[in-house]
Amino acid sequence: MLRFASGDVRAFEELYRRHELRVWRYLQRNLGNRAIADELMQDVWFSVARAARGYRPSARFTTWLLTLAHNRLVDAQRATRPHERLCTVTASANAPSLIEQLAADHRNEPPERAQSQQHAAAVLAAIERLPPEQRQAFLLHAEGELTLQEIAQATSTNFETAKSRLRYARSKLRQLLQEYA
Amino acid sequence: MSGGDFDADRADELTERYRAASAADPARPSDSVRESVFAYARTVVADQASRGVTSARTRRPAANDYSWRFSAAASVIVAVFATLLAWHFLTPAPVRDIGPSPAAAEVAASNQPATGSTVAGEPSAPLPVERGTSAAPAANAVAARSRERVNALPDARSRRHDAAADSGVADTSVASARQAPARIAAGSAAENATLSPAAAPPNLQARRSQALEAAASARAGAAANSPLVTAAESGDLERVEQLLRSGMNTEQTDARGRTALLVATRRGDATMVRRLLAAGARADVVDENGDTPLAAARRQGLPELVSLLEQATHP
Repeated sequence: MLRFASGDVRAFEELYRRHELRVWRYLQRNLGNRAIADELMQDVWFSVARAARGYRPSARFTTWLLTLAHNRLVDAQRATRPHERLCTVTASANAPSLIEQLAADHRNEPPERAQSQQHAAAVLAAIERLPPEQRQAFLLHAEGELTLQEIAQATSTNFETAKSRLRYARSKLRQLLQEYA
Repeated sequence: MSGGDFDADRADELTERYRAASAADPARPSDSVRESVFAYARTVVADQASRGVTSARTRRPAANDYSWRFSAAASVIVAVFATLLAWHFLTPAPVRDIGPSPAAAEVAASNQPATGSTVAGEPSAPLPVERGTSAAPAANAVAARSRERVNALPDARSRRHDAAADSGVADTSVASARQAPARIAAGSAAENATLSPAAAPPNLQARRSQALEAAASARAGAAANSPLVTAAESGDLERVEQLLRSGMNTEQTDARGRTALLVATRRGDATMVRRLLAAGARADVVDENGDTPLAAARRQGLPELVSLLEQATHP
């Protein structure tokens, strides 16, 4: 980041590739919409490029980057019309159909590989069915590899709230996966 | 994780399962996003290079720069401190501190001449000039000086001396002033009375009003010491003669604006009146009640004095 701030464009490209999937998956799994995730992804990295000149390495870059992403995500969710969010939730409520669809797609795969893919699809579907705050906390932890303190900072909450959200997210995930099993 | 307790910062089995599932997910951001981001980054760098401010610090803090919090906290602390200082130095002393203490009043009363023209214990009553008098300062003399320091203006001291001169105690030495609490109170009051409204805080109006009264009382007290009026009132013709020979001003008045001629007329003392008229006393001097010697003589039915005073008024 400091190299890019001094004018090294290659450093920025390297930085982008290193964190690309982490940010995009966080956005995409929270939004459930690839196009909007792409749009927010672009917006986030534009912000990174603009802020590079005044960047201070006072915290982990990942934390700062995911904080930017989280803020953009919240803005986008607030801007989303209620009925659109309702549709998303309704679609999420019908998530088992997605698992069934994924399972059906792998009917012709070898049994072990098909089972692994089904398990992966079940996990992702369960993530999608988490409440937004719990999902954000879990993804910041599992995808962004943030600590509880960093999650609290990124989501503008306190430590105990972040811890509670993560605990509930795990409990809910475990429950959903047991139902699937 | 077992039960409700878990190590939140440790990657557990559930997290590992998610990471494995996420890695297996073939979904990726579109290449167009990457290209647009890179293009934007190049634009930003080119823009910075063209402006020559690549390494310059911006005035706007970075998104991850939290040092502004310390600056903001320091600013708030400085503002609060400045407010407290301003409050401390600009808030005037309570009005109740204006009057002298009972001790000062007692000292002032004990030094008053027995004319009865002034009220004992009046804060601004001046003391007779007695150099070397070593009366111990009363407790409120310290308070009075403290107030003087608080309300001090650059020319406060000169104004205080002016006020003292106005009140007839110009020949009072500084040492005497230090030892006379009543005079200090009068000087302080006169000083406050001479403060311009613009220079004093607005909430000092009541205090200034009291000070004006005290200053006026101080002047009145000084006039009450007029020996000519005192002698005329007591009928002491010998004393009056002595004072007139020494060049005493016949127009000197007491606290109520009475001249020696008016006092002598009211007493019906024709000899005294003649002597005063011979010394050049004016018969048309009006006291604070609008009374003149001629009017007093007519009112009291004193034809001899009426004649004398009329001749003096219309020679």
